[in-house]
This record gives sequence, C-alpha cells and structure tokens, in this order.
Amino acid sequence: MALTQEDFVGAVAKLNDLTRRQVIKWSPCDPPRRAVTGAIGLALSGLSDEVAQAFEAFHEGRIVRVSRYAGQGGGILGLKPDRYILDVRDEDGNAMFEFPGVAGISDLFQSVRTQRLDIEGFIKKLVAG
Amino acid sequence: MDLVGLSYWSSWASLISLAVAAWNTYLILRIKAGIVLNVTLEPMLIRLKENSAELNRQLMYYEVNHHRFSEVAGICEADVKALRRRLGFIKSRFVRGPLRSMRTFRRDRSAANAQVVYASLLQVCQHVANMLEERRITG
Repeated sequence: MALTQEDFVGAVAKLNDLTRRQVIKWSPCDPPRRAVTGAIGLALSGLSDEVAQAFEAFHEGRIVRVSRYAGQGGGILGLKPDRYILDVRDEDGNAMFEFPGVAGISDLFQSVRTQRLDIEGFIKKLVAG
Repeated sequence: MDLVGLSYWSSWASLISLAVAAWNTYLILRIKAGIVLNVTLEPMLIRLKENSAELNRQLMYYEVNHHRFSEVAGICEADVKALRRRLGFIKSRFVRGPLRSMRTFRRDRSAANAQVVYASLLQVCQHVANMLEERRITG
C-alpha cells in the first residue's frame, strides 16, 4: 500500500516522541550536500548565505538526519524563512531518501536541540551539587 | 386575460420570486463564508503551527509542564472548532479525530494522551497547509 502524507506526518511525530523520551540519541553531523549543477548553480552556491546545522541518529538500522538551513537575509524580499529537512542517509553522507516537507519537522529539530542541551542532567547536577 | 387567470400567474410569480430570493440569500451566505475562510485560513495555520511548537516544548518535560500544555491544548481545541465551523460538515471531516483526541485528553491528562493530541494537531496543520496551497493555485 502506498504511503500517504498522513503516514509521513505520523512518522515525524513518532520520531519526535522517541526523541523526547530519549529512546533515540542524536549527535551533530555534517548537513546534506546540496546538488550543484552547471556554471550558474556553482556561481549561486558561492552566494548562498544559509547556515546549516544537522543532527543524526541511528534508528531501526538506518541513519536518520535532520537539518536546518537558516536564511540570514532575503534581499529585497525580506528575511528568508528557515528550512528543515529530514532524510535517511548512507554511510557517505548522501541523502538516500528525503522526507516530504510535512508539518512537525521543525518541532523535531527543536526537540533534538533540547535533547542535546541535556537540561535534565544539568538540573540534576545542580540539585546534587 | 381575466382576473382569475391574472391571480393564478401572479401567485406563481410570487412563489418563483421567493425561491430566487432564497437562492440569492444562500449564495450570499456561501460567498461570505468563502471570504471569511480565505482571509482567516493563513493566520489560523500560523497560529496552529505556533501552538503545536509550544505543545512540543511542553511535552519535553510533561510532568512539570502539564498545566501549560493543557492551556495551549485548550486554545488549539478552540481554533480547530472554529476551523470546523468555517469549513462546514463535509470538508471538516479531518478534524474529527483531533477533536476526539482532545476530548480523551480532557478526561485523562496522561503523557500518552498528550502525545496523541500533539500528533493529531500536526495532521490538522498539514491538512490546512494543503488546503491553502490548493486555494493559492485555484484562487
């Protein structure tokens, strides 16, 4: 049976839940390489002002990666909104499957960042110390 | 034409004019509802996204944040109900599941039910985003 958009939204929500419950542990990694094609693409890639941040986790035999591209400024059109990408990568860092841009990926990224902060450990150390 | 014939035709004309007036009223109400929906759909989506992000933050340490989660979930429920009213019975079928999960959460405010509320709200956000995209294309 074909996957529906609801399935992807549900999968992102489930990943988020597992992240919050510390079942999945994320670590920083390199963001996915963007495909640059032709001379114009190569020239424009140098002008890109996006700052990328990515985290990866090993789950169910696959490497899942969530990345954020934060636009610094959008010229005459104003600020560029942040873009979030969730993909499954291979050992070389190439994205093998990219999730569609469904709701919840930005929330997942925030949960990963909060997990990396380890607020619980910090509070427990403060209380114990 | 005699008076009896004239009265017969005028009765029919008044009935037809009544039907036309009712049809016009229906069209005016439909256009008004369409305008309200078009104007409010995007702010509604932004609000739902902001609230889902807030719910996600509160879920992180749910045991200490459950009061705030309940507050935001209540706001979300009001927004989803407004969406149901504006979309009408048929088009708003997708909000039944989320509203059911919110009712369940009100009875039992466990972390598992809170997670279901958050996940179902994401589905609503996705549906509204799709509708907005379709409306941008079709006008």
